[in-house]
Amino acid sequence: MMDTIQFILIYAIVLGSLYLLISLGFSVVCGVLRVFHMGYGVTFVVAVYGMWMLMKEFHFGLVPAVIGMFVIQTLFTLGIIYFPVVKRYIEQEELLLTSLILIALIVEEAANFFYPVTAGVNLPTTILPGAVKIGPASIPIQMLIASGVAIVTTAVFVLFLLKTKRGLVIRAVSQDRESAELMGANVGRIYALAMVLSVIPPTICILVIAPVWSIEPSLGLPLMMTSILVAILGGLGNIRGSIMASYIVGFLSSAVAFSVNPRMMGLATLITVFVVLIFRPEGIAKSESLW
Amino acid sequence: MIFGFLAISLILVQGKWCFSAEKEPIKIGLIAALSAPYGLSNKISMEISVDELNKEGGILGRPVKLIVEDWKREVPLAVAAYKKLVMSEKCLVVFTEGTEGTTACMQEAAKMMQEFPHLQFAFWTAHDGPTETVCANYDKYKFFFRVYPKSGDSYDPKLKFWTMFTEVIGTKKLALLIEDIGWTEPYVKGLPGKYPPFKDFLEEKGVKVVYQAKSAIGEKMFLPTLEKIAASGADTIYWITGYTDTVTLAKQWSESAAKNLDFIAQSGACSYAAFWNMTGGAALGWVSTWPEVRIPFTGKSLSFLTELNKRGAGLIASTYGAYDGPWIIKAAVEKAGRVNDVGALIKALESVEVQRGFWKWKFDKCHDPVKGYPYHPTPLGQFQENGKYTAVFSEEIRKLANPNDGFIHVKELRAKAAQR
Repeated sequence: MMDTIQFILIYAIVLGSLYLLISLGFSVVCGVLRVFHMGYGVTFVVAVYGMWMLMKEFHFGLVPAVIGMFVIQTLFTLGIIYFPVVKRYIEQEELLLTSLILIALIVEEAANFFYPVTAGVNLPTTILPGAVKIGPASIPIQMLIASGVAIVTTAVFVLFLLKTKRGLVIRAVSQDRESAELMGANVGRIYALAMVLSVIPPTICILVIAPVWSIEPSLGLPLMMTSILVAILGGLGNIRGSIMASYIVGFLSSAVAFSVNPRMMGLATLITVFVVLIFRPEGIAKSESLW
Repeated sequence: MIFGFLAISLILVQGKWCFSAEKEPIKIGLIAALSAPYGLSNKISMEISVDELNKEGGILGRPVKLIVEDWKREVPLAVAAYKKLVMSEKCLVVFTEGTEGTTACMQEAAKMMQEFPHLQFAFWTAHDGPTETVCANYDKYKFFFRVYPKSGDSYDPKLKFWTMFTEVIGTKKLALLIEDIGWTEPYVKGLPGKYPPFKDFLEEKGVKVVYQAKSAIGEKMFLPTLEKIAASGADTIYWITGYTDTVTLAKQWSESAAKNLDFIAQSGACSYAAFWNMTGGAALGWVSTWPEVRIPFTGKSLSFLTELNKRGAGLIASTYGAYDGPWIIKAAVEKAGRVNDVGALIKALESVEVQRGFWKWKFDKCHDPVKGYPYHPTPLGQFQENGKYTAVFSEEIRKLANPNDGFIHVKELRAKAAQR
């Protein structure tokens, strides 16, 4: 019994941190631009295949490839997603969502064409191999690092939003765009900044989890679904809500896995989110702004 | 004179038509999921096979034409493609893949058989269902032949799959995981009147199952399951996979509490040689059925595999049936002596014995391949330190592929890797 409780608590933190890192970027886009980013999964795919391309075709080393990949992400986010699509169709929801999905599908197909599953794409981003015993649990060190990175990244984001002038402006825009504009905020620039900020957590996420996760062209969709689940439960676009929701989902997955059946993890999470939405449709945080 | 001229013209035209009919290509249809690695591999394997067949004179002097349709893993598309291949293209035989697609096409084929007699060959179809259907209703479904293994092979006394645990690995306690999808149903429930649930069967053979569970095919987080397996005291894991994300599973297994437990997976991406690179080497010690191992069954085996790789495809469980399939058809037609008599072709297929690229093909009364080397085997391979698959089962396959190598416990492999 004691062992089960320890397993549940340890994995609640590990899984919750992972879900947080996956979903943080999605919350930023929802919270600032008020856009349900149906192409969010593409961020993970661009991160992986951008880095692989730099290493394989252009023979970049690991660190230059990571830096190069962030540059590719920024250019892609602004040049393909934000300016041609989001900025243009932000008031036309159907067109916006369709375009974002199409971009994600095109990128996935392109990745599958150039680097199919059997191409053996694998990012050498293992920081420390092996596992660590924490109580009865044996946790891969890479997963612990991912958890730590998730917490640090979130803390940096929160501090940025709370303690910097730019963060203040971002929060103002997320609360009331028109008023912020009247107060002199350059909303277009803030939106672009938010889009760029939103790719940082998923990019870091895929870099740290690549040693324990499959790398394939279709990896974006399941990760996006996790983000949506967490964002809906937490309150769309609210980082505080996303933090709470991530660890609730982590706890739920862990509790069901160790006390009932690992097969039921996904189902239990979905049912719980559904039940919460019935009684609290605005999500846990019940807020209409980023923080 | 005019009548004579007309008569001669009629004879010449008829003769030309008969001559043309004799040289009309024999059409073989293939319904494959072309965006999936296995679908592409099946297509390329059959293309190579048909090319070789045509170079060697075709079938009864007639060229063979392969017509490919993409079902995108959607059953309605498979059925539509099947109808097109049989009714419009007049294919003599249609190869189908996937349990759901094959089963639906089989029902459609039964309806069309009177008006459009043809044959259906199936691969990438592991569920016993279609074979049981032939057995149960032979007259209605005798057009169906399987050129692929099935779940029930795990129970087959000629294959003795369980000796992998009892004799090769020396398993004392097994953790049995089964992916939760249609084709694994026989493992979970057994087949009434034929064999029990797989857990019970293994225990009858002396393998104690200390942990059993189902896994979701979309699962990405295997660590909780691996913790439970390690806590169960198992020394071997047998995970019946086909659509499970085996790359993530291998990566997480290699760093988990269960990393020193020997691991056997059924199939999926783990059968590819590229699996080693896909997992960044985390597949060390991993055992899989139908591994991508170059086994020189015949003089044609290796040259075909080289050509297959050259064309960008890998060896998977269905490659054998995809490559040998057209040659089985050729043998049956030559035995029957004619093409357009499906009844005669079925009788010929029931008695013919064919070997081209791999093992000997012979069908039993339910139109399932006869099992056990030199007939249809169940090979298993293990990733060892060189990053390549080593054949470890059956003993005949191991000796054929790599007589100086055999199974090594993962604990030993990890210890050697750590020393380097």
